Amino acid sequence: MKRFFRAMPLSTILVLVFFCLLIVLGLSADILAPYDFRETDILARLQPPVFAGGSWDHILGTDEIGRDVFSRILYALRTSLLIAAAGTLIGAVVGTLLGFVAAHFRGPLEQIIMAAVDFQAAVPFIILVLFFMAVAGSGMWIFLLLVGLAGWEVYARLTRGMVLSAREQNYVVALQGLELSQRTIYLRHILPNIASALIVQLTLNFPATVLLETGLSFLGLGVQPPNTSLGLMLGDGRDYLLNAWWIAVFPGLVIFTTTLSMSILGDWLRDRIDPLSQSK
Amino acid sequence: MRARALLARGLRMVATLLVVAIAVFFMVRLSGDPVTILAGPDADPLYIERMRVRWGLDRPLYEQLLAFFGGALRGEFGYSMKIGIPASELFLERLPATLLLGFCSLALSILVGLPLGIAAALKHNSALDRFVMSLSVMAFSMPNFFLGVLFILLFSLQLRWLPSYGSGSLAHLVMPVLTLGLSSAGAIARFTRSCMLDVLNQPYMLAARARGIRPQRRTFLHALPNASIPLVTILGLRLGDLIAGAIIVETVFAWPGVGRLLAESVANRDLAVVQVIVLATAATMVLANLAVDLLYGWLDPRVRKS
Amino acid sequence: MTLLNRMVMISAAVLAMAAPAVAQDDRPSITIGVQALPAGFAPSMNISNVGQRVNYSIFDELVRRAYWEGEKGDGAELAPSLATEWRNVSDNEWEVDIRTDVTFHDGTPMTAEDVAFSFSEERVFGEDRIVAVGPTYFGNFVDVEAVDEDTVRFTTAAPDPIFPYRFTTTMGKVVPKDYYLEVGLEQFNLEPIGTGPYKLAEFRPGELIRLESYDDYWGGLPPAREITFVEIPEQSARITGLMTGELDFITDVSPDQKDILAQSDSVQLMPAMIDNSRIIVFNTFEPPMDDPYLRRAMSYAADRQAVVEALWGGDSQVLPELTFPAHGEIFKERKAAEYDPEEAQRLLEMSDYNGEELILRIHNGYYTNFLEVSQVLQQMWREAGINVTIELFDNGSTSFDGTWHMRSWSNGMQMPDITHPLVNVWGDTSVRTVPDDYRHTWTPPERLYELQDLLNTTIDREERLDYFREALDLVEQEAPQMELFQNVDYFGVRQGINWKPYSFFMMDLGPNNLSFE
Repeated sequence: MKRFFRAMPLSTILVLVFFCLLIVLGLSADILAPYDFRETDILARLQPPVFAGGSWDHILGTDEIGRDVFSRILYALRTSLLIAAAGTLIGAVVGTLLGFVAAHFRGPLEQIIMAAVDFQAAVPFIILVLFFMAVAGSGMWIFLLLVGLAGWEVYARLTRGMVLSAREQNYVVALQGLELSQRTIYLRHILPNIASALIVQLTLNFPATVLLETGLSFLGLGVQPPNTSLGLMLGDGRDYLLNAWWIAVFPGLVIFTTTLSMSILGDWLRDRIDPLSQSK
Repeated sequence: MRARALLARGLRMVATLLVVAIAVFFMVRLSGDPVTILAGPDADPLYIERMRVRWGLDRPLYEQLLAFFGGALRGEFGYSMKIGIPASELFLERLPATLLLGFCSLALSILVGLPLGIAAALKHNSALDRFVMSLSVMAFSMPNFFLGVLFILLFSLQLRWLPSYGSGSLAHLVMPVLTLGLSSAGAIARFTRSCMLDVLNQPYMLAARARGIRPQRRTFLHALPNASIPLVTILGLRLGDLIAGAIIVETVFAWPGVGRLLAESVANRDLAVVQVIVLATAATMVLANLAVDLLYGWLDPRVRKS
Repeated sequence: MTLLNRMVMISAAVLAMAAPAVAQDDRPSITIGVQALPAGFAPSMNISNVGQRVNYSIFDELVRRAYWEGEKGDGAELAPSLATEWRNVSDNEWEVDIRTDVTFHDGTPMTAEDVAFSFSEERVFGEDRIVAVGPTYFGNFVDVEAVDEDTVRFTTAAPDPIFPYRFTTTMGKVVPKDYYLEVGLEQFNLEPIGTGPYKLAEFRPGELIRLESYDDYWGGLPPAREITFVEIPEQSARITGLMTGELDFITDVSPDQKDILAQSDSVQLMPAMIDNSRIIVFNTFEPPMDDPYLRRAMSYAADRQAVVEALWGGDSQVLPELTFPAHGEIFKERKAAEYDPEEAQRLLEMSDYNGEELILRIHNGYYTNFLEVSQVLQQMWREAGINVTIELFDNGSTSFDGTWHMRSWSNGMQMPDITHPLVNVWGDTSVRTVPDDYRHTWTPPERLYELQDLLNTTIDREERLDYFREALDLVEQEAPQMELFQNVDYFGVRQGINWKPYSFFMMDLGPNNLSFE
């Protein structure tokens, strides 16, 4: 394990530290935030950040109804991270499972699963979201589930493809010759080999999930007020770019740095884990 | 592909479209009463009743479904309840704008992403590599509506170079295509780079180098064709993203396309229009995936044999 | 010279002589950037704000409300329009004289027949009427007849104190009988023909609406050659378009953008206080909201005035319940409930409220700034011990399902008379009071219906005002609703354009209100 991390270039270590910092900030929103994220102060609306003419009361300024931008960013970060993490995991677990099932059983079950994959890829996601949210309400759990389901087909396809090709590999044939159970073969031998690809997919998917949430919030389908997310703050703030830029710019910076660090880490992980693509 | 595989695939495509049609039919109907939405919160009950009858929404669901399929076979896809013209007419009126936007964006993303990805892979771990990767992540991680608004404020308001809304000239096309295409370009650059890296590290590339084949020949005749195989598969994904992105980009730039029409029709529960657009989109995606798979098979001789 | 050349020369000469017959048209063409376009033009199908904004230029009302006489575009007197005079000839009969020099956009003259048809049993008040919502405006009509070529006689069921005001609404617009019946309402909605200063030239749904000047307009030559309404959903794009000069007008500017527009000297910001108020409607059937003490307490517990001032400056105000400035003196007489925490506590103690969660449902994105205001109010209510949760809904009837206690709504004053919005929103045909309507929120006491009937049939002004006062007292006691703020629309207008916004949804772009420097 130590060897693993010792090989990290300095820049990547910095990125990792930064990313962990973001996670810590998000998770400790309750403790760190100077104000409740819903607290309004109508007389202190549209205050600039402290370094642009504002006061230390609101270091990153206030929004159109006087809510503290810094506090809101902490809560929004937490919400967005939770959604992205849970969503990505749900998609990965469901997709990988179904991919395994498809590759193992073949036949009609595989056809059904692949047809579901086709369906998912063919229908604009906005419709699915709208339907589910209209029927099941606009609660956070529904939204999490939907975000997770947005990406499962990638994992399913990937897993199925890799399991199929892995089964052709010599080592699996040899293992089967040893009469190990299928489950053992899958869990102990095949899964670790494809895990790297899956993990990479995970880290690449994470930023996509953040962006999905952002886009849905723009269309009014995402996190609902008074809850807040990075995407919602960005969407609300875009009308104020000319006179209160801080409302949108800070969430935008957070989105950007989060996805950037995730991508850099994902790249590094890919370079390390995938034996075929060692960096020189 | 052999005839039997092709037939099976064809059946699967038709089945997918059928399922999509039925699913969307039910989804939109069950997610809110279109008549009360269109009529507004203060609408007269008699007006609502009349609208319901006019659009056949008072009939049982299975009857409506049959009517829909019957009409579809004749080429009639119902009427837009909001405007009162045939849904297909509305769709076809707005389609060219989206096709133009989509095609140009896809072209831009390939023309920009592909060379950058190749260059980054060739100069792996150099400053160029890092720079290209950072740029592409930047493009990829910027929410497109935000980028769009920034472009408008910069290029229209500040610089007065480009018009701020609508379509109609080449100048109108620039910002929407940039917004939609750049994030895709970023994704393509990243993926190209990783595909190329995978290929460049293969033993046969080392062998080619040992044989003294020049770098350009190595890159373009040996590496790139092999890298393009997985690359082609993500083009299908890119198309899906473009369609989804078009919904937002068209709204921001008041681009008169199908994406914006879809968003509005979903909000209004304008059933027939939603159905037409979703069916068309599904058909496009299914065909695109087929094309990709065929291309994949043609490019990779190993798959062709299987 | 060859024969061909000679013929060309002669043709050119002929054309050159014909040219001056076509007047040099140097009137400007203007472009208006709007947030949303209507889906049609028929007055009865486009009563919304986006509809009235456009079809005011295509049709004329029989009688106009003289908005232009008010400094803020809020004049409330009546002005002749297609009708030149109206007389109450007997208790239940009116005679209206109409202009004889008016033509429709297709050139056919407007006759008394057209006017009579526009307000006929067949179209608006009969059992099998074409326009479903007709009775809300003309429900008391019994007969309408063209007695000669420039007079129409109306017979009402009872004495009608507001007869001429009925025609100042969007339903007062006159339509061409033959064409209307020939193409049917749905087609008329897409291809309208009216008497107004502009006629429809092009309609691309969701994209643009282009109107052309109707040069033979009876009210004078229209000031613009062409008007194009363009749909631009994104506010930043609209504002940018105005500042770069691509657009001449923009609508739906939110109040926070004021200072951005103020920075440029090529544009001006024009506020219009609209005769429409945003309100909260209480679901009086859902406990604990069935307790009028709780409902009344909520008005005193939140400082609505401070919120309105902070968000709109002096451009908006909190209205007394159901009373608008255009109602005249009585508006100054009534007062909106002021912020009074002690009174709120007193009322809360008299109620049975025990801190239960109250759900406020807000239509997402429908009313600008409503959500912001509600969030601020929510905090104020919390301080008073009233526990409010905000739920956003997207669309549709499901928003009335389940448990909810309050919801966002609006009241519009369709006619400048004290009966509006009262009889529209809390009358016996209102969707909020009809027992089996899914939007039913309150059952008014019988006395309120009685008072409304009296208001509708009493001619004496002072008597009416007394009935109105009693009705308002009743509403304030029972508190089925709570006023939040008067709607303000902000327009961005290019400098060099002289135009006044009116205190309702329309944009008057005709010769009386629009000119260019």
